[in-house]
Amino acid sequence: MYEEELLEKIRKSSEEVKIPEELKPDEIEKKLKSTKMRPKKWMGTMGAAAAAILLLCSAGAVYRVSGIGSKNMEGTSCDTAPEESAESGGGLGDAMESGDSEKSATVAKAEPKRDAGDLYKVAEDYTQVYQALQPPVYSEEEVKERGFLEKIADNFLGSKGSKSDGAAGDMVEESAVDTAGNMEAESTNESATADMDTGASKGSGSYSKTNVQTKGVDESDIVKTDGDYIYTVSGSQVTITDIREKKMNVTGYLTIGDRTADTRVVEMYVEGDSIHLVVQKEETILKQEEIQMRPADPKYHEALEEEGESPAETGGNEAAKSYSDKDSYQIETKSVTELLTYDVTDRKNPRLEGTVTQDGYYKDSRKIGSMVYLFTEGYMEQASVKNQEMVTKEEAGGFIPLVNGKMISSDCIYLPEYGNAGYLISSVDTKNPGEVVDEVLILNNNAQIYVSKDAVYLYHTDYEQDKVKTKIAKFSLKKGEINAVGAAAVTGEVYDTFAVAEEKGNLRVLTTDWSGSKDSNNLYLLDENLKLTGKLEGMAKGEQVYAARFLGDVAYFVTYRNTDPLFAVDLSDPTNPEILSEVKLSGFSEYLHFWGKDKLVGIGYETDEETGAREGLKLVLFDIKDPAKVKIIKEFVIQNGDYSPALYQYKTVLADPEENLFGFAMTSYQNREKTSYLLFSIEQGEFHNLLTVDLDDSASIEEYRGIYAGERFYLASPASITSFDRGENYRKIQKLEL
Amino acid sequence: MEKERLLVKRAKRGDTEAFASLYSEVFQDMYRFAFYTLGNREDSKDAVSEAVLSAFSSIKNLRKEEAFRSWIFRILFVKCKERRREYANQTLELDEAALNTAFLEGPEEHTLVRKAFFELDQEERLLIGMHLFCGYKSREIAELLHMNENTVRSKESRALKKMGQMLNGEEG
Repeated sequence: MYEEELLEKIRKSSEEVKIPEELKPDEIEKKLKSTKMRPKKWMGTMGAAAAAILLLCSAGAVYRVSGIGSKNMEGTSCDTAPEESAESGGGLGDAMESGDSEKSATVAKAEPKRDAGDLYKVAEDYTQVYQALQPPVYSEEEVKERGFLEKIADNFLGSKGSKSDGAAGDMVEESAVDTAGNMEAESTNESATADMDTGASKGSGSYSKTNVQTKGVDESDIVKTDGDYIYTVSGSQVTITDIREKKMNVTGYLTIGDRTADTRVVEMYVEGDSIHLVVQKEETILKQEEIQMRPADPKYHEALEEEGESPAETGGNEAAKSYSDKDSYQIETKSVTELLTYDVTDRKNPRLEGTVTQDGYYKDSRKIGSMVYLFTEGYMEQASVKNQEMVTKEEAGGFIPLVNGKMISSDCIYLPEYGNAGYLISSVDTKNPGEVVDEVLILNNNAQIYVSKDAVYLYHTDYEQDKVKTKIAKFSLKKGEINAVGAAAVTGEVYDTFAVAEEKGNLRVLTTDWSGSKDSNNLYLLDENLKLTGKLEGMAKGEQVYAARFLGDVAYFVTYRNTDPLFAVDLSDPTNPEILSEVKLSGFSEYLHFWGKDKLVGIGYETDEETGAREGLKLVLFDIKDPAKVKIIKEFVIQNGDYSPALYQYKTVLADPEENLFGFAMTSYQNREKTSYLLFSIEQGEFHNLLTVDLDDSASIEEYRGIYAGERFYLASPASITSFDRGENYRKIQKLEL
Repeated sequence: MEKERLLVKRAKRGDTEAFASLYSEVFQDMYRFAFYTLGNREDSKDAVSEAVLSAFSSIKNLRKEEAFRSWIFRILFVKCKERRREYANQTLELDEAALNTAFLEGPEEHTLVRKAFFELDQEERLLIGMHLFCGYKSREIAELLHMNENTVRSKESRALKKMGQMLNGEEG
């Protein structure tokens, strides 16, 4: 049965469920009328709002004067202020003088943070961060009168009412880019981080590494090997298994000491004699929670009382208040992520060398050379503060996240047009594993990341009127220092993890625009400062991007409706991308992997061209020797294959053209649910099934990794490791339960 | 679309009729979402009515007027989440009796689907519910649940496969 059909069945079944009378619209309407609840009006008074704006500007002025030495001036966000203030708002700042000096003490980093174009601005102080978390404080009419409307993102989560410094004036325009700050420091990757290949070839032969998104940028995983040992994550420990001899042995365990049940190891990095563990800790706390959706804002209530407005409004206010007074206690979980570094020179006795803690739920991490970048996310507490005109450090403690026990200073906080989820990035030099090199907090409601060798790109989808936009910000990563380079917006939504990729400092972005009557696909080429150089819009109308890969100056991508065209697009002229070829075949690929220099492997589904019904997993081999003449070499359908994590989680894939191994786990629902691991080689244009192993452990299908080390192949999960002899037709050697 | 914008504008000014009219477009799906996520009639009813009250009292915050549906479902999602958390604390997951009554509603082919659906775990039901009733895309679900977008897609896909398997088994 196919997904769409099933969803339809669920929907149909739900339509039979009787809906309680009390919930019928007329009943609800009666209820709303009788409870005298009225929507609250954001009167907030222009006076108060204006005061806040003026204050923020003046804080900026202080920052300029006292915060940084003149040498760094060009590099700061302040540098862009003069030209922008000519447009709007600047006059306010000039007119105001203030004694606010909270700022000056916090500037400690080597180089001040720059704005990411108009997308994220470096916060002036905690007051501004607090403001960014609050709902707007003035009504639309008032805003319009003041001419501020254009400056405020029109989003229903809209929480930012205090874009003050004029820089917020122009929302990021399509493809228009503001590359704030000078770029002299950003002459990009001329020095690609050197000590890339971590494990090197140790022991007797080569061994497999985690399948990563970007070559040279390592990613953490639940199974790792260094050729001599296999490391597997399970719960709150890592098991170290010696694989040097034919018979495997568990050498030692790395257990994160005196931890509660709410602590688990998520993933790890292995480098030489060091292991870096990413640990997720969830603390449960009792918390008073408001029934209202909107945070209690004392200013708001004060304003209401002062203004009074119409009797109806006042009545509404009282109703609202009593409503918000009905507080109840809720159990809330607070997430903290840790990076623990162990010295495992003695594999039997791992030794903890350093710990870094960071608020938030673990999102992702990368390791570039010796530098680990940790990404966490958490909703920002909308704490109420007493004096909103100047949020004190104590008050800020209620909502500013911590890194290594310290509150992030406001000059490392990036504020968007709206947002109340904090995206926290910190860098840790593994040579100094207890300390954080740098950190930034970016407010955003749902950012995705892409990390190249020397930059991290944050992108999210934004819906403006009837347009779909992908907004991208670039932050350079230099020896652990994180600083903004610029921002851009392109039309459409990014549908595939690999649809955003950097090549020689230039960014390529492939999107699907679904806002029109027909989906269409766009390719954008951006330079190192995220300035648009060229684009190709309106490709494959009626289809969506399913998979993408970029190789040198060619983009390959798969779109799908009933058939699966693979497109090859020439990117060698950054101003003029051109479609080179298009091959059509049935089904679609969800994941693409380059195979040597001239081939491309795809894994996805075979489908019926008439009905679109899925007919099993499918492997495809393309010949891309001449991108203008891409050819299909082989299509291989696994008829009983219904699902594979390889389609959506690249880390679960073993794809090694040098060793000629392509492996993945698969589920079949034919008779009863059955999972297996399949290993292939590709010879003379054919897929050869080297090994099929039934998976019957307690591990879930996403947790199996096929790895090789020298002459042996291993299938490892948190529950077991099974070894196979590569020289003897993958004969099973041993299964070790963990 | 234009009509909805106007209704939201009116609702913002306290017009209960306009609000009720907006609500009438979504209330069925709201209840279905709550019920298919929580599996309990009383709680589903409460969650929906709380969400409606919250929505009415804070509709002024709805900046993007055409996003009413997405916005009110977000509120409902929070309400349901609170209840799910309570369940977790009480180690009581589904109200069996209430479920059984619900199973009996409608023709047999539908009750079978419903039964299979409730065999899925809480998270799987939530994922499908958010997609089907709230109309969220994988990315929005990922955002609300703090998950990777791909995980959302693969989990939903697996859940549906599981359900398909159960149904095929029962039919055959």
